Amino acid sequence: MRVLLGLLPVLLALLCGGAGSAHAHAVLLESTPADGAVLAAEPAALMLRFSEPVRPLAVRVLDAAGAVISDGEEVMAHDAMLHLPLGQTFRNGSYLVTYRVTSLDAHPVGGSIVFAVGEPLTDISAEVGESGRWWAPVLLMRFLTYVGLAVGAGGALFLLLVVGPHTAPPPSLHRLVTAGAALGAGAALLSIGIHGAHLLDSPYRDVLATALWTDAAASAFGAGALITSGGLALVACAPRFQGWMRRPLLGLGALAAVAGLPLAGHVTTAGAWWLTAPVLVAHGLCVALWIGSLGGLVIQVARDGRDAGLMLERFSRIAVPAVIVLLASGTLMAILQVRDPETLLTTTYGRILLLKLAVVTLLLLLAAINKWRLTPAIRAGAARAAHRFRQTVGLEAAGAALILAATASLGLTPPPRALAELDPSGPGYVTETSAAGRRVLIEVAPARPGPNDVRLTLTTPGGEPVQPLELHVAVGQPAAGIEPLQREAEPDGQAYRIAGLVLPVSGVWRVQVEALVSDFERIATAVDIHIH
Amino acid sequence: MLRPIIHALVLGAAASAATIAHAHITFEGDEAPAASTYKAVLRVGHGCEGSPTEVIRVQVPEGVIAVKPMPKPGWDLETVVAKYDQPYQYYESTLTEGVKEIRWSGNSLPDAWYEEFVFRGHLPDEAAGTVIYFPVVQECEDGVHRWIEIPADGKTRDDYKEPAPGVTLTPKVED
Repeated sequence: MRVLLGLLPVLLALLCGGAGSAHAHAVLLESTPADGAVLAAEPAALMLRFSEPVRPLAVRVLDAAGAVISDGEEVMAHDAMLHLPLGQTFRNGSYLVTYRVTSLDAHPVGGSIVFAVGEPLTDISAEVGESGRWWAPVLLMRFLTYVGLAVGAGGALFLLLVVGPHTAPPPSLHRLVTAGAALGAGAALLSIGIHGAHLLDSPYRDVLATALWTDAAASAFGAGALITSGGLALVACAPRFQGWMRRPLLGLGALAAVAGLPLAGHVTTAGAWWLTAPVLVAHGLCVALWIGSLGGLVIQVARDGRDAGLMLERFSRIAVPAVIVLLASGTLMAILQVRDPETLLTTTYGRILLLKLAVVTLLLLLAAINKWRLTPAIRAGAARAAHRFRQTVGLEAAGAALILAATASLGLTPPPRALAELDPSGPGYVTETSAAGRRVLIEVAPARPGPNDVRLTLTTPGGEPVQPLELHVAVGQPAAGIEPLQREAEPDGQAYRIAGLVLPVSGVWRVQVEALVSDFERIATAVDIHIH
Repeated sequence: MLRPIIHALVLGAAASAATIAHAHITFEGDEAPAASTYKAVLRVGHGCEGSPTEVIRVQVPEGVIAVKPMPKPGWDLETVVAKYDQPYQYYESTLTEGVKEIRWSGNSLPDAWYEEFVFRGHLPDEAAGTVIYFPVVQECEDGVHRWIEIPADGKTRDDYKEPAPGVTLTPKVED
């Protein structure tokens, strides 16, 4: 117990470290204008590209005096790309773009870029980043939801799988399960509004605004929290029903409560959802069963030593496969999130994960003692064994609380896979331009000297794909006297592609695009790409 | 002594004028009053690098209304009728749709021959100097010319390889 308590400050320190770097999960890969760019002419549009699909919450363009040039009303999201047409006039000077978006996993990301028009960039003060004021409430609600899930849904699983239909469980066990489920249901409901406030970084008083709650409830996170809350409410109500109704309600409630988890987490964006969502649900069910059983076992052992022995044996039989599923699913998710083992030590996410794994290892040791030493002793009726059992279960419960706290903070920390995308030598160069009302997205990979794949996607301002009859591309480097290489792009799904275009040297290349969008209309545009 | 130089200049000017007239598809009368009915005579002076012309398609720009093509012996005539972007007042009636594309086909005009294609339409009531462009696609037995380039601000048709034929509006004639 003392060892685990000793770890608490370490965990808290790690959590606070996480708070500092709360740029969560989608990360900005690049922008047009680029951060720090000095433009000769005013920009026609703003483009932001992130590491994963995002939903815009707020995008604003401010001038050096802080006046709003664009409030971002016309911003459009296209997968990982945000596009904001800028019809405004830009006087010479420096400008600031601030943005706030959510990624697929419903985590907010904020940041800013600066650029100048017509004159060198001046120091432009920015209300950048976030206040972090909602971080602790969000973490607390997550933690309480997990505790409720473990005690409530886990207790329900214990009643169903370990106690069985033929034994009447003690009322105190029912009270524990009901209390846990009610706590979790309440915390999950509250987390919706707090999550909404966190997304918008609203002031404290705005948390009561109705719109904030309805918006947050409509998000993926809100849907997940509602499902979890509803499931736990079912579990909390189930003991009030007598007879055959009770057990199906407990089972349904526990399943629903855990099934809400994939919607709110970022594990689902780490791989294909059909893989990650079931794995996460399996992980959640096993964790809940393990932690939820602790209370039930203690109550049973205190009540009746001999019956408890039988129950412990039954628990042991279920626990072994459950632990195997738990470890396998946990390992798989960790691999998806971490990818590079080195990041276990170098990132906050990795360090919290290591701590969680250390506590899990300790818990497994305690569980092993319970199974192989204390369970046979309790069956034999040794009074001291029951006392020792309560002690080890107390330790397990403390460890479980640490694990849940670590898990709650992992959910708020960017995983290494998201950080890896920040690598500046990362995948290719992306830029966007427009021509006669069409948006032209140009992706060049790997954007290094040598053969490159060029992908062009044409869309209407509304995001509808445009399929030109012909798409002609000329790529040259006028500064180095390299005359344009002429290529016809080939259709590739809804996009067009030039494979293996050899760009022999690094530097700024000029890409000229000519698209015959209908028999009578040809559009042309040109944009610079950077090859390094 | 000056004569050879003058000869050269005259010949050169004639040659370049001939090139321009020959190279592009243009309208015979390329000026007309705004808000007037215009008779467009499309002059086709060549095929596609020697290949005979088989199809001429004209796109009617938004704002040009009540368009009627003149049938041409030996050529099939088709039109595409579509909704205008907005309704237009035309004498006593309001027009909401009309001819947006004209297509002459079913014949073969050798590269060495000259031909004219005629249609009529009501020009928009816009400022004098505005150029109304009619993108044209010339399909040949072998190849295609797309006379669809519309000059950007500050440029003229001469800056382009295949400019669309256009008519420049002159001041509206008040009646």
